[in-house]
Amino acid sequence: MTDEITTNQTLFDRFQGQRDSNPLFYYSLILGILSLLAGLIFGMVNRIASQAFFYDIAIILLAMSIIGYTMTEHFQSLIKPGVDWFTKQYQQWKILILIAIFLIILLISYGLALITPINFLSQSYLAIILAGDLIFVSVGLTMIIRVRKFANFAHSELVIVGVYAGITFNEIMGSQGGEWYTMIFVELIVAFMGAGVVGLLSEIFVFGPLTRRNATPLSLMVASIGLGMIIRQSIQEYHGAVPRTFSPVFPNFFDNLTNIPVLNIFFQEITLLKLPGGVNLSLNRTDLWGFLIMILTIATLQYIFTNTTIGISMRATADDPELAQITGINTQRVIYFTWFISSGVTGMGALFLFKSAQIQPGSGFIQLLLIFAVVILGGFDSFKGTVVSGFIISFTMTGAIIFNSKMGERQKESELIDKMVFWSTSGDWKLVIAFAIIIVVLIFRPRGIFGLVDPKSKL
Amino acid sequence: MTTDDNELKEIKKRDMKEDLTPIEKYRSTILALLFGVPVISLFLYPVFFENAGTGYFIDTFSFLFIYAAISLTLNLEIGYLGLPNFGKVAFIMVGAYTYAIVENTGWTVLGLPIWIMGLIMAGIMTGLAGVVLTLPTLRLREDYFAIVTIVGGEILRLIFNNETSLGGFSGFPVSNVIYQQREVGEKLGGVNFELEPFIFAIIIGIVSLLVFQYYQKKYAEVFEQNSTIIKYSLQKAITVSIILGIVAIYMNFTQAMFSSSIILDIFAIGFPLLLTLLKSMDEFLNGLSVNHVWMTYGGSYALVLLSFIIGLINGRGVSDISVVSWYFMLVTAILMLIIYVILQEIYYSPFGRTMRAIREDDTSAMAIGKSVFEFRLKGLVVSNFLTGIIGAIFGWLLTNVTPQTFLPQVTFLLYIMVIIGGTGNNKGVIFGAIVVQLLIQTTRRLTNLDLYYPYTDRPIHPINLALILTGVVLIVFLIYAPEGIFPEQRKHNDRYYEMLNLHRTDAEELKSNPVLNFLVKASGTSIDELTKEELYE
Repeated sequence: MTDEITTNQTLFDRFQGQRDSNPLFYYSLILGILSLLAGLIFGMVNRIASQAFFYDIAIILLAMSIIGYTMTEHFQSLIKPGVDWFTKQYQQWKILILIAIFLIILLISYGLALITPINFLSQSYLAIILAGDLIFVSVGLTMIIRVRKFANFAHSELVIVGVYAGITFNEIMGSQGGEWYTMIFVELIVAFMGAGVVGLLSEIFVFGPLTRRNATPLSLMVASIGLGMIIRQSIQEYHGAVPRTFSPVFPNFFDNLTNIPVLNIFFQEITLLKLPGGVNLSLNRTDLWGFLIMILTIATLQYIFTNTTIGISMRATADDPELAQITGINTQRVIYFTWFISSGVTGMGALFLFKSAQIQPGSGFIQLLLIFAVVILGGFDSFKGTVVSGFIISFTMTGAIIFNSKMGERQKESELIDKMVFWSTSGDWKLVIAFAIIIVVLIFRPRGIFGLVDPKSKL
Repeated sequence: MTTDDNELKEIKKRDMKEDLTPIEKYRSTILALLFGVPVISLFLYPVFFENAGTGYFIDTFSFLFIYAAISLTLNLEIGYLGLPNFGKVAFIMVGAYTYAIVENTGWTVLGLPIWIMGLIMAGIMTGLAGVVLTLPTLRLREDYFAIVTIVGGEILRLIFNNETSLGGFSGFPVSNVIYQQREVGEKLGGVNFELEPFIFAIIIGIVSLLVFQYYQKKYAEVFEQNSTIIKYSLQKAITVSIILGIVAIYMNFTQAMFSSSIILDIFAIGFPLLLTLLKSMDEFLNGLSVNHVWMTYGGSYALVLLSFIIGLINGRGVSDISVVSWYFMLVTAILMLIIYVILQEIYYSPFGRTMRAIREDDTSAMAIGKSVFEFRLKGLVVSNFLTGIIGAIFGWLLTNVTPQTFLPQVTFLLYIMVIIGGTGNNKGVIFGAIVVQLLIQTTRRLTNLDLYYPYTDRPIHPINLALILTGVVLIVFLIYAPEGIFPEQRKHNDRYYEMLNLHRTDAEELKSNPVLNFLVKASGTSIDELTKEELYE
């Protein structure tokens, strides 16, 4: 049985181990019905602004496609050796089918974008980029939770350490801007090393001693809050609370490469795609590089986890530390390695998460609950879940922004609706929606989409 | 005495840890001094060396008492129930906002004053909010529960921030009831420390102590149990001090003896009021704990001492204290004391005992038919009801309730207070709250000192250093002393030792006896705890 599955399962699937049943089906069914209802209500309220009705169809279609995807996942979990032709075919062509579904969504949404006032395509682009950044900073937390089994609230400070490592490095080198060491590829290494070392030190001085004294996950969590405060205030003491920007700088030779036909989107600062129907989509090379590096990093992590000794020891330590120690694994070293890698990756992601934002030592903390939303929705200890839920959270947030602007339009048209609807359009609701997901998930399905660990069981 | 009794005494002696080294015995005192003395001297620094106005004292103390009261209710959740409610700040916010909304709409029933209506509504709404936010999540494991509560609190804050009909970004104005009662702007000009009330307080203390000792000797011949003797002699002492306190109030009202001094007000109102309260509670509950009495004595003498210090500072000619802020500080202090007494009462009640049993081992509690869910829910409702009322009074202090005041960091600070002070120990929690809050308020004040690091032009920010220090102290405590400065008092229960006739076995063996453990837990208590009523019955 295992052979059959491993042939086609992704690496992350193997990492998951066996599952009794696939929860995705029920989950997506609820999600689909909910978004269907939302779409209908949206459509009904929308009678005043009739054009936007089409956007509602888009939402419903998106939800349906998620249902479709997860339905097939559900079938896949039912596969046993020697089952029917259809499921085997699906297993073989799984990735192609997924790409096809994605393309169909893209085409439909593009078609809708032609007739709806909102530029759906560019909103989707922004959502995808945001999802990439979120996944980049969240994947480290997933690793830590998997190996160390507690919720690290200092993770947001590792994010901010990544950015401030770059700033400090530039200050120490006396940068005037434009030197070789200010290039993004050098800064990524600096951010990796800075955040990695901080993560390693936190294990050596805080979490290690606590675990050796049999601390509960809760007191580890409280300790991580204290640690986060120490890191945040130390940065503030050194750099001050003045807002700064730290946007990635690209090498000059990129300008010579802008003539390459398709790949020039990676080298031009901004590419403006003029699509038929008057739809414009502007691509930023920083976004694209961030997404690319995120994919490369996660692929590397996959490779490390599945094909190297240290990765296998890591998984063994995560499953049962004592048993791993008996089989001769130096679990202490494995834990240190995990901290270094996961914190380093988080630091790298921070450079892209804050690429166009004003940063302060406290701005990492604002991202903390968002990162937790991604990790909880995906299942506390699942990489695959983190990737999927990164997209879900980011699209939901974008949906909230669009909904907000649409409600704003409608409230301008009708004072009655303004009084009736509990939704002040001047506010920023995207975080409310994202946080509401955490609560809903933890109440109805605490192990998340892909998680293995039941929160009522022993971690 | 038989040999059995001697053996039992020895076992008890060993269990009660009577043969400790001095350092172990005075550990709490040493640690408290280690933390308290630097913080208090730092707090006094601007007054004695910068000639700062004393208004800063009063505000600091008001904040201090309110934070101490909130961390006491938080202790009910973590310390008694073992539920890590990380959304504490949201409940404070609900209380403050409910009060603000009631006040701004002027809604009231039965002709109640609006502020009383506001306080009641704040309590009820916060209790309900506790039910709504925690009901679906109570069955979750500790750390998941923590995340749900922190996120729920943040959602509430964002909704208040976004929704313009709920105040939006700028929030609601709140008027301080204490300020309404007295004329604003009235200053305490030229009020110096007066010796008479202080001497009077000392006289009352000495007289009641003498009465106590007299009756202790007298009752020693009548009663056998030491606890009974203490109980009855304390009652006599309290009665005497109440009579003297009423005399003091009368003299203050008629101004026969003293001028109208605020210091006397503290003494004359606060002290007998609390004693009367306790006396009535005593009769009502038919039981009086030594803790209450010591707390009342300690609390009222602390207030007198505080007035002594402030009178001393005031005497230096820098007075910018308004009468109303004085009274407000008084209200917060009495609020804290009342909440302390309520929580102490809960701690030793059967309800509190069951809560602690659930904290220790919820499975055993469930096994003997205690509804874990129900007790957790009840505990949270009580805690949140109190939090709502404190939140409303916190709103008085803020004068403008905005969402930016109620960031999750406030909850984290409250946790640090509880953990440093001692989880489960109310006295320790008050100490922790006072130390941490004093440190933060003081360093915030010290920011305008313009200090620089040596050989650089980098400025020192004392508030940052204080927060770093707090974080370090928290982690050190979590690693080396998770029970805090004042550990929770755990005493052994004689009744079970004797009832089960197991006292002749070794104490260690006894504690590891599964049958005994189960029976002890089955009675709704824990083996390490002594039912307080035993002591006084």
